[in-house]
Amino acid sequence: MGKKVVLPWKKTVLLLALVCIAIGPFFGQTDTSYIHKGLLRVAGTFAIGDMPENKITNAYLTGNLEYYPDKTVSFRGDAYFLMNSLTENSILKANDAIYFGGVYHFRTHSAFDLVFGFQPGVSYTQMLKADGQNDVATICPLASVVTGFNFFAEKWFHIQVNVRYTIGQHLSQTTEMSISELSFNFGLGFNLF
Amino acid sequence: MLKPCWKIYRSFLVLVFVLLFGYSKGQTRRDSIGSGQFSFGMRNTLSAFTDAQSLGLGSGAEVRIRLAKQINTEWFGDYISTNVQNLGYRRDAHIGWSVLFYLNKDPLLAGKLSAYVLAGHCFDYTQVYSDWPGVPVGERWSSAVQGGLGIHYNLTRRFDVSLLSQYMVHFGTNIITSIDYDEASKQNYLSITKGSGLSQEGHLLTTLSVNYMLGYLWGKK
Repeated sequence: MGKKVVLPWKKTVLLLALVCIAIGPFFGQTDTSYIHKGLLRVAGTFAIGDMPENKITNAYLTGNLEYYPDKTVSFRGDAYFLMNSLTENSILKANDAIYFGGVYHFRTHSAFDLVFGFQPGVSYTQMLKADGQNDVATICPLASVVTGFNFFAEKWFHIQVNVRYTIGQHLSQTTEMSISELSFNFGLGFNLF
Repeated sequence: MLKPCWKIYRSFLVLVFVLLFGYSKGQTRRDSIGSGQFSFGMRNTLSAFTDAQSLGLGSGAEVRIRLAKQINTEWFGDYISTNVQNLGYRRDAHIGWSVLFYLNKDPLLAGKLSAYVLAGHCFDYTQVYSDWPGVPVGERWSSAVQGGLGIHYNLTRRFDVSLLSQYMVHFGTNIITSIDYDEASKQNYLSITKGSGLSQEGHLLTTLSVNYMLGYLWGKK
């Protein structure tokens, strides 16, 4: 585990998320037609994740696809691709994950879509061994909960902010390491249908 | 050419489907409310009290086919990974089915809890790895029976969150794991050997899932 880089942006990001969640409903519109039965939306986002047990911070390219069979529930799949660790000398070489599960949408009667979801998943993980060589990559089961919001500002677009907590463990014959992580993602989404 | 065990498994599945079809045809109108509902869900499972002596985490998927108002079936697959005292690890792949008997007279209503008892059958493939160099990987196929209790909470008529606790007993070839001591390096390590005869191993599985009722396979159109 490497030395942790001091990251003042963490507080900024947290503050931004809290402010967005707090003021979001006030920007809501009375027209809720953006959130409708049959809505299919996709989003491309960036995520920052913190693994507190290992003191590693990671940057991810992420995306999700979501279908609303009705206004209050949806199926959602997420993909996370590890770009790199922001922590120096991180032993994490790969930590790409996919999640799929159900999301509940709290009715706000506005274009503000507050969500809470449960998404099991799996990750493809690889660590750096003590001798500097890459360990074998393994597939690890994951459990995750996600909360946040989509703000449907236009007919075709929305803003997405999510916080996710993932539980998992990388197990191989040379490394046993928790990959539990708190991540925050922000990005732009498109309403396909 | 199918192996004998797969022939037995295929015959078993045919028998199950014949029985289920017969049951669905023999219901009264009141019993058949909800019959034919088809649901899909995702699940996480915690596995406790295995030989590994630590908690395993699994992820998987399930489908439900409801046979009657108070009877549902659940068909599931799980992939479970467990640390063995930081000396090795094990991976389990489960595939199985259970019958759910609802205790409520009107189960699966929106905003209500539905409690059930469950019993079923499962197949399992296990691999056990030791971190110690030179220790061979232990692997086995086993068959299991399970029973337990669970609840659904329907957030909407179609969408539910479920919590289930079940005990699963496996019967299969015997893998013996033990913690041995290496005198040269003065370290403990996980030893894995394949024993003779049949073994019995049980574990407690606690599963959290979300499910969505997609439609009807028969009955209501």
